[in-house]
Amino acid sequence: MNTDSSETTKLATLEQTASEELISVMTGLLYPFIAVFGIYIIYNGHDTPGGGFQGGAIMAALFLARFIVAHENDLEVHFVHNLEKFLFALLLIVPGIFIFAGLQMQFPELKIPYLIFMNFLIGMKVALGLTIVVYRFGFFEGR
Amino acid sequence: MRTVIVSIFVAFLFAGVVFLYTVHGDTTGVDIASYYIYNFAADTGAGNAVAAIYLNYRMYDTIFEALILLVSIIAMLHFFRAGGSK
Amino acid sequence: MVEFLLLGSMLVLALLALYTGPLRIAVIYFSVFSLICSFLYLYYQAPDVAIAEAVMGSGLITLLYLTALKRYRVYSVCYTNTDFPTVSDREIIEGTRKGELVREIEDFCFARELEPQLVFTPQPVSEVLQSGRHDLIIHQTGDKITIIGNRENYVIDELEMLLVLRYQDLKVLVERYGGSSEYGDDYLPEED
Repeated sequence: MNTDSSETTKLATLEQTASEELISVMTGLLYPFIAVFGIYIIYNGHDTPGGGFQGGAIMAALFLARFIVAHENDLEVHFVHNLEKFLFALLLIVPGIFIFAGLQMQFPELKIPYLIFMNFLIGMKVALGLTIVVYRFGFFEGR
Repeated sequence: MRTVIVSIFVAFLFAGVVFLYTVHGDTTGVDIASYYIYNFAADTGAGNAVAAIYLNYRMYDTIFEALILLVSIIAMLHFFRAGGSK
Repeated sequence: MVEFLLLGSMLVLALLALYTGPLRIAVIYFSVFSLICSFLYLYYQAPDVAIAEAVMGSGLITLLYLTALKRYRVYSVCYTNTDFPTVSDREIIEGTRKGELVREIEDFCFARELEPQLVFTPQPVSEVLQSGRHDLIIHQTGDKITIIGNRENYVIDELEMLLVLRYQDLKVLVERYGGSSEYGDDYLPEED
């Protein structure tokens, strides 16, 4: 009975690690494709459906998949938080110059670069913000 | 008993909201919508009307949405017991 | 037609997510609900909102709920034995096969990052159940061991599998009470 039961538990742990490895390998394979998809959605946000928020959410899901698969807790929350504050400052300054100060009337050829840049700013901000939120709630609360 | 009262209240609320939705006479002017639809490409250079609206016509909305996200994260880091602010 | 089908299935999935006992399954129902919701946005020609709903609703929110469910930390186990008025720790912890069962449950908890908290009490099961302070109750009368847990707690399913694998020679019985809030805490095991 004893040897039998130890074998069964060994089998159970083996199955658990095997399924975890399956998930991590598959996530690793899908990783670049999801990254390209998110960047595509941000980059083409001004022409096709999508935009900063949607692409940013996809990038956040990507970053969080890394934490789940690799079991790493190495997110520098404060660095990310300061980066997000900086991005918000940019988000105030750039439209302030371009739209509210009326620069778009003088340089109409800058309109599309402005849209792409703003989508990238919003996308990065949303990605970092959602990553912090879910990382904090899911991986740290309850300690 | 409480659940019955609450469900009756919710049913009345639902009926009231649906009633208000069907009777009210407020509509935004057709002029604004048609202006956005016909002029957004020339005004902003975008191909997607949604992007044109949230990055150009309604920029304040976007800024304050970003501010809400930032403020919620600051609050979360500040109040959690895991110690966000060292 | 497609529209009404999707709306109806959304209603059904929302009710299922509300009234399903095991929380992990309810989270999956909710994820499917928001997937259908995102498809419906696409049907109403709002692809922007559809992308946002698909990523947030069935990606991030599901992730958040599942990791949060994994983070239930303290798992309190209550051991009751009505045969003896006082239970000594040594009897349970040392040597005997039944002590092995308790230790096995502790190891099981450590493997899942739970903190097991063992309480021994001579009170009858019904009082312990009514106090509602314990996640798992191990009740022993003579040779018969009953393990009682809440249906909503997902740990009990894994625990039952472990017990079936390893303790076929003991008379271990796994019972569940509760479930959705409709049933309340009215389950009482029969005392014999």
